Amino acid sequence: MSHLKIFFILWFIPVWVCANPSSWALGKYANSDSGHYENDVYQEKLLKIPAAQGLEVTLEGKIENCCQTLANENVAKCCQRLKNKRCCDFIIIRDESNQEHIFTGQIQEKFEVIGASIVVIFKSDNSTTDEGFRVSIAPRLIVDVFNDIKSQLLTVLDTILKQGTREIYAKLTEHLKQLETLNSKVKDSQQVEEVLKEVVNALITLGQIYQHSAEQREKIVNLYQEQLKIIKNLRIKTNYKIASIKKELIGYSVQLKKTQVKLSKMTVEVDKQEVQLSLDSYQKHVQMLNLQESVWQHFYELQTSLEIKLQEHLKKIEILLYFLKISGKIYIQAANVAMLRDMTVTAFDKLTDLTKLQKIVTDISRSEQEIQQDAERIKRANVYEVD
Amino acid sequence: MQKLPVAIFFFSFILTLSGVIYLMTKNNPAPDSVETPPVAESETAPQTTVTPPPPAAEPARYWSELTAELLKVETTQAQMLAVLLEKYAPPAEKLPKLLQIPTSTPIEVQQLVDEFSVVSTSWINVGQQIVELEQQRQKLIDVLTEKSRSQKDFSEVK
Repeated sequence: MSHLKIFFILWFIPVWVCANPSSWALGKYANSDSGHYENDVYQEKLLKIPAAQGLEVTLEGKIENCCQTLANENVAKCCQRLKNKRCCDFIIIRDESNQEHIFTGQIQEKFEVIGASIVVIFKSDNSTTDEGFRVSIAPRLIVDVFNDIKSQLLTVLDTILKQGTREIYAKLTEHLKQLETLNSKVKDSQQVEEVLKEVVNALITLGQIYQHSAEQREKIVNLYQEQLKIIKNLRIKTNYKIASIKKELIGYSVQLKKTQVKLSKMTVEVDKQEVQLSLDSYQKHVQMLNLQESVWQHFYELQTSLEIKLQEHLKKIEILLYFLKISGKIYIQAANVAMLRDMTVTAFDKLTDLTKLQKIVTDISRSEQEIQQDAERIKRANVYEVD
Repeated sequence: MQKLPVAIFFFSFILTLSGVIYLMTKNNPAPDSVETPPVAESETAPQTTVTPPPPAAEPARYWSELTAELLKVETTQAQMLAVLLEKYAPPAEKLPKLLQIPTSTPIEVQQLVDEFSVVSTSWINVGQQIVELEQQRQKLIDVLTEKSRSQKDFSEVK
């Protein structure tokens, strides 16, 4: 009987390993005779490392680049279109949370996915082939998965809070220097003609800076949305992790109940001891999984609240840019009126509304502070605790 | 004799076909036949130019830093304009003509309001008040006209 068991295990292991490989290659990378992959290929492969919490995917190779003719198009956008295109060679890697990564052309990628398996899809059209590719997976620990999500979140937050500010800040600083010089000049001047032209020019420059800044609105909003999309994907990853912990928890809870029932029916002391050991082990597992679920759940809630705060922050920035747009117009018009009316200064009466600006500044500063507090919580978070 | 038109047809067909092929190859030359222009050899030795290092880019800032800078700009500008107005603002009677034209028709006043509304919100209020006053004045004129007419009619009847 035991021989039969050994035979079965020896037979099963290679079959199981072959059924769940951890790498796949085509063309040159699979030592093909031609050194290229074939035309008209459509293949799907499941790569799996059982019980892995996360995977590190490595992809290298060269396949026909479908995006090379579209020089002006964003590669990511082009890749999104590839799935619907017939005349194309591309690789899709789909993880267990159904997130897809699409590749074409020269590829040298390393990235992490959640779960124990990925599906790799390769499609080539009826013309032009290339060297081929190799994709391989390696297991990642739960701590790595957590830290990876954490570090990505922090990077996104830093990027998002500084999005589009570089140029505007530089221009404002430069203008402030000029204004300070001009301010002293105005105080010392004796004749209105001496300084009025310079004041008018300064007003026009500031109006132009404001209008140019306001024109960046669409770009800033788009970049913001891209970063928010990354957060959304991280949230999906976190949610997937919670679901897998729950699944595991259900499994162990069932085992725990069965073992408890079994133990209650047992009479022989030695057998009871053995089952008691299993019971203790299941109880510890359930306890640990409950703790893990709570930590990941907190982490998920933190990300959700952060996403809402960032969306509100974006609205405040949009208000600021709108304020700049209107103020820019007013300044340029006031400067024009001042020039047309033989340089009278009346056009400058009540021109600046500092109260409104002060409110916008306070709002932005407050919401940024709240987001940074959340960022601090993320920094402190670890796989055992999220405050 | 009958073979002659056929021969002419074939001859012209081949001529047209070769013409078409010539035009096609002229517009889209085969990759092998692409001629690359010769690279001109420089007559003098290449000069080594030292390019200055690019200026360090201004780092991206938090929006709160940007708005603080913006507030500084606006405050400085407001102070400067306040000094300018205090020193050189004309007396009240020299203020814009807008304030001195109560006899204008409402349309003209509205045009002026439109023109100046972009300059200052306070002027918009003044302009609107003028429009309202003008409308009230017009109503008053109508009422008075009506009253005088009815008085005239009354005196005539009398």
